[in-house]
Amino acid sequence: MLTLRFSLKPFFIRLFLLAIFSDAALAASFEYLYLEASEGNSSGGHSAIQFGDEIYHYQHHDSGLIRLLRQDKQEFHFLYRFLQNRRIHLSRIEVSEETFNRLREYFKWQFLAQDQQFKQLNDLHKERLLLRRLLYKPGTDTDFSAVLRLNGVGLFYAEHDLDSQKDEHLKNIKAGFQSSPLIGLLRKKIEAQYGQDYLSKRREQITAHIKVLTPSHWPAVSSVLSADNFPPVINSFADSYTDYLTGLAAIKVLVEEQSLQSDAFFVTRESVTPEEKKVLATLRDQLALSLLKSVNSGRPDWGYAVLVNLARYIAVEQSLQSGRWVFIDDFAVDSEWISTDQFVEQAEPIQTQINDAQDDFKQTRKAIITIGGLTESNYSQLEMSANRYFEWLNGKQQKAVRYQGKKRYRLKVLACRIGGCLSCRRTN
Amino acid sequence: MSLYSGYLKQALLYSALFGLSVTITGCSFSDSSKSISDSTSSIISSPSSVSGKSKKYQNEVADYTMAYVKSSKPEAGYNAFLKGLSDIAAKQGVTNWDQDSLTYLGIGKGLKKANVEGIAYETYKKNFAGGDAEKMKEIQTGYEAEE
Repeated sequence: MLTLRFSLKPFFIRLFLLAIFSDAALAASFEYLYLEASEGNSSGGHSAIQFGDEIYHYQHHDSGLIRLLRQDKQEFHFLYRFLQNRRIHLSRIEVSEETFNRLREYFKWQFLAQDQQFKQLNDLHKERLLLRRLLYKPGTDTDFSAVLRLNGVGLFYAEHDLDSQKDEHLKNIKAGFQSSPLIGLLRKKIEAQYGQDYLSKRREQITAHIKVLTPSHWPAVSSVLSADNFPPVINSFADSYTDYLTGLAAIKVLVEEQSLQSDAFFVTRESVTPEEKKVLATLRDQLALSLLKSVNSGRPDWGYAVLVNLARYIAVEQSLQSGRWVFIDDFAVDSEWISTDQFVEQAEPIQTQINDAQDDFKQTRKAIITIGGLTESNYSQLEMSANRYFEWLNGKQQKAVRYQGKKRYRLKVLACRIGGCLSCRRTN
Repeated sequence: MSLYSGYLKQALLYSALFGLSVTITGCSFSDSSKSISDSTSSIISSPSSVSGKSKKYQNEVADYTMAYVKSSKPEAGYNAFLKGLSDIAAKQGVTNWDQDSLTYLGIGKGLKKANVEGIAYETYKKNFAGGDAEKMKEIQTGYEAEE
């Protein structure tokens, strides 16, 4: 009888050596962050997990829920290391590419699903407020105006400018001082493209749509989330209503040639170089084209796009005319503030922030020349870095300073007041 | 008998080695840990590149599209989907996302990730592009790139 001798020794030795010395086997890494305890609600310490530039961590939510958050690395460090002055311990864990991808995908999908659930909750709340207001019309409802807001309208109108109960005579006087020739120019381009009565027809169309709007149908969904059971996206009655009102506001800005609000923009001391003027002139023309497209767009929030394009067009044109950089103020209405006392107490770390912001602004300016042009995306980066840098400089003049990190907010919202909003009422 | 017992010992030894090597390939706690406490040190390590941001935006649009498709039907209304795109674009500071080819490339990628094909794919493609031929082409490009 033949006996075959088969040795596994070489195989396992090769596998062991491969495991020890192979870089490909551990091709990726993620970071585990531990934040030391602080005071009050932070007295238990905190932890997070980082994949590349994204950090995931769980936070206690006001309603008693634990919610998964996702933040940009820089925003996270600014919040915890700078604002809260907490030490962060970081451990790098090397894993295979497959493990890394599985972990990242798990956190990503859990975050996206929860985010959608909270959005639904918020939308239902807005819906309820709007329906209650339409049905009962109470005298005052602070909750309503805090929740239902018109994105971008605050760039051109202050809180009570759209109040239809205001004296018409006073409104006309104020309007006379605020007329913008640039808006008039853009309106003429729209009329040349789409017809003289385009804006008035559009207004009639929107009014007709509002009058037949009906409350949304909210389907019952399973609360159990899975990869194949993502919470549905619903365009609510409240969202549709505010989008229509924003559209009406955009038409009003064009027809009345309304100027930007004085707090909607800021003029810097930075001169526009000849190379920058060339790219700005090209951007200005692109914004005019974008405006023509957005006013006739099928997207539900076209009004917001029109308002932002108008505002940016004015800022860019003013930069070209004055030779100084002018930007739209892009801080959210509910931005966090750093007080003058905090500014003084944390002078050294704040100076680091100012230096960072200045570097970022300079590098972004250089980049627009290097890449040979300005797209909306990289102009937006420049606008954001300018807002951040010049806001920090305000602190040096004994003013409180706003902070919003790198998260973008809808530009300048205006509280929606039914009955006061553009004289558009539902008749049933 | 003694021959098998020797072989058994070898098998056990190498099984242990195999198990150890599998554990090692699974994960490794390196000694690259550190503490960051200095609030005066710079938070910006390096500015994000334009291409990096573009890729991130495209991927977010793709993920959103995939999630939307999994939770709705092809003939559903699209306003809610479009509003969601606005929110994603707004985070990147982009307002005119409907005029940006990256948006449609991302939508195409998302449809592929969701394994949508055939009539359902064609319906989504047409509706997401609003019937615009150029945008439909961009969605197709994104779809094919994800293969």
